[in-house]
Amino acid sequence: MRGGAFAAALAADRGRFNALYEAARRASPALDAGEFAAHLRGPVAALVNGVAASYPDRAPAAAAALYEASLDLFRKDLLGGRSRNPLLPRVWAELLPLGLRFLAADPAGFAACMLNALHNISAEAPAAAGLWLRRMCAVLPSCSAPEEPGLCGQVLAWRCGLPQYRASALKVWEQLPEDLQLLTLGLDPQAHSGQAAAIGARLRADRWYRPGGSGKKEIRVVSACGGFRGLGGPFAVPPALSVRGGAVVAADGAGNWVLHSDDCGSVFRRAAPGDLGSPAPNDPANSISRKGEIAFGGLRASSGDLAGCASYASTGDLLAVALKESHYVYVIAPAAADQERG
Amino acid sequence: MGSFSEHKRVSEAPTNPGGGAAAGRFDVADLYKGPVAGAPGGTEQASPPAEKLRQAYFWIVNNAILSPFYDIEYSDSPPQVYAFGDRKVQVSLPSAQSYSSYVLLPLLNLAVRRRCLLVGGPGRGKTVIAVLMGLLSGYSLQDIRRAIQHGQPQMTIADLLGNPLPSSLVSAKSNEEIKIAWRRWLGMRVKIIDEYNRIPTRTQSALLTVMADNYAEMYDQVYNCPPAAWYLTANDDAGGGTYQVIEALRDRIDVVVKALHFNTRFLGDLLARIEQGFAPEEIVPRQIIFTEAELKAMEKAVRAVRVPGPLLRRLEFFAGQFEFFEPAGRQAEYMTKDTAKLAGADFAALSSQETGKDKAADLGSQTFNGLSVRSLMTALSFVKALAFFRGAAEISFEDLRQVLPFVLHDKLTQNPDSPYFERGNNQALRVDRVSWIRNLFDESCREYQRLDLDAEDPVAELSEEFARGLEGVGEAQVRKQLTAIERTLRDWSSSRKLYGHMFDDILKLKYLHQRYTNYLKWLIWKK
Repeated sequence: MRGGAFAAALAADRGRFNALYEAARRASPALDAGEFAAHLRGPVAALVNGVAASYPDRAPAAAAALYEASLDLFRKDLLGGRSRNPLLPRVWAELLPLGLRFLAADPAGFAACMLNALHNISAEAPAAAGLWLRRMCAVLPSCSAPEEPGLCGQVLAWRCGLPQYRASALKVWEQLPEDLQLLTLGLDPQAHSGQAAAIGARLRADRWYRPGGSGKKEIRVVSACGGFRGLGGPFAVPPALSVRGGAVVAADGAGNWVLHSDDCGSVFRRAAPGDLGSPAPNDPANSISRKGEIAFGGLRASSGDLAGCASYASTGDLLAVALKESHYVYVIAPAAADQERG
Repeated sequence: MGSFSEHKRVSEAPTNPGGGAAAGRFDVADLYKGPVAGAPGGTEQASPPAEKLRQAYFWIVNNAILSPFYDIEYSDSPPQVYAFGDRKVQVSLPSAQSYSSYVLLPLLNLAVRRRCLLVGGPGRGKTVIAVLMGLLSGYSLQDIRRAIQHGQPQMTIADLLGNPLPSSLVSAKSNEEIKIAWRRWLGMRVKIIDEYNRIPTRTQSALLTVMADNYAEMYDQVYNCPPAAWYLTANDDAGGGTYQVIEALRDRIDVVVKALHFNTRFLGDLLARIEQGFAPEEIVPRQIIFTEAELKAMEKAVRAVRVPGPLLRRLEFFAGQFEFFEPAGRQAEYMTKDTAKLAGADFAALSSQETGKDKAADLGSQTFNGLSVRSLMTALSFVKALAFFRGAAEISFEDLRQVLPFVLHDKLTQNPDSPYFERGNNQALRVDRVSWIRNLFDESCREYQRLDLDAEDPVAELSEEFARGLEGVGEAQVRKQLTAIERTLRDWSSSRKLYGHMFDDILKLKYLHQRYTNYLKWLIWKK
């Protein structure tokens, strides 16, 4: 590696960098020196040199932080030839370069946030990870304060398909300035200037509200979630549904799972016994008959696919249906009629 | 050594599993906890202080200091015990997470910000452990190295504390005008004194002021030092070396930790370090470095650890064994070893005047002194710190049992002539002070059990009644209490030999009697 701020930083603290590498190699003998060097020569050098171009005194700190972050990922086979996540290299190549000023200010924190976020989203919902990366790349250039990338990343995680974070992400969203509030919802700040507060109020009140949508709603199946445990889902047998503590709970005899569902997606999360609320009856306004006739808040719909359901659970704004021979749970809600997600 | 040989890696949390499953709450802040360290709100900041302290412990034992010992033993089921040799040396395999005192106690000292003396032969890592504690507090290696005070026979007070600025010395018309260039180490939260027993006596006195009262003084100028954890090293624990350590300075040491020997079966690890040029102090992971705010919060959390009543009673009973010395006085309050010491009396000669007591059974016969208030407060602090480290909300019996020997190591002066040491295999306890003190505590607890003091403790009952207050207590009730106190004293005086643990009980009853008496007089006067 010739010249450049990164090369200079490595040379200045060579002993320490070598010690760190040796320590990582002792723990992970399969750590490939060539792949690691290629990663350093490529995206890491580019990032550090990029930081040095505008913030020369921050280059050594950036070099140290990115070197250590790289080692953390290589040790766990999250980077390199045996990596299980094809998106993590794209964080280095596409996302981090858009945040050089944040990298300069807090290289360890900023890099760790972005890398860990993508890692976690990939583990939770692989399909959401690519969307998150794309949207984060779009939003990051508009961030200015040091905490904004982290806050935006959290909101985007929810918006890209992690509905279990809805409540906490909404609180985070409220901390953002208006333009970032709109951007993270997929809205043009200029076109929707001044509307963030009203949009936020609707988001809090209605989990099926889609910002920027036409406003039309229809009763439809918004998602099929769950699945057989042997194929990556949570349920060993087709679950039975009930309402507890205001939420829909699915039980398969081995455990209980709480349904988290909104316009951003649906997911089941395992509940500890103490976390389940008190049993409650179904909301009488929302039901489904054995023939698949759906009644939802005075509206009617029909679905032959859902005829002969084994159980259903309904709250004020959601109807979940389980079939006798399916490990999936079908979520019916008054959702946006638009097909394109925000 | 162990399963964590990657030096930069911190043990996965939780390091002491066994708590309940985490509640199913979803906080989007969890998004940033992950495989890469350093995220704000990431793993290291989300770790509660006790977990971070444990992570620091495991990082040190697995990567920094080769201390493959578990001499602080915990078991949650009966441990397997093996006996070796003619003397049946017992080695037990603890069944719960156990620790090396050499690493654990300096860490606890960091948590409670007290004064830790590291003793042992040269080259055993005493200074390294102290430096690591400094690094864990957030100082750079360079700052720590500059700030270490190296004891040497020519060390002056100015070397230790600082110098007056020559210009102000010349121009000042009074002491108040003299500006002092205080030494930087005085303002640090970790203070390291290397080979403190090589500091000349006069300079030791200046050190004592800083250690004891947390300020330095020179030319009527005072520098107030921030709270700090102290680490002092010495090459042996007899207070020898170039200078005798003044007793007041020795007394300020809160915990004594011995550097354990090097287990030669780990020579390969040393070789690996030489070959790699590995210096652990250069790669302390960020995740285990504490900020000042975290250290303060940790100290507060340690103080909040509860001490259950029955354990406090056992500690009281144990501590009460040692001060009483019947030949030292005529009035009960003065019958203490301290009275004899202050009078410069010959302890052995006085001791021979004691009759009727089984001196081998009398725990007090094994020491020349009792426990001071300071040592008891230190013991409680460290016991709480150990419980905190283990993630408990209150201390356990084993916490008390494990910590006391290290805290009281230099506080209880052994009487090697006690007949106790001639019994059985007890001779080794003359040398192995840690085992000796632990044994003292065990014997004390056995006696406590034998006397069934949990079930029948008239002093505790009377104390509890008194603690409810005198407000609204009538004359009849007061007289009833006085009668109860007098009856208890009468029973004791007729039937029991006077052992150490009774001494404080008797004086407590006298105290209660006096308080009730004064109150009764007031009630009568008020009438």
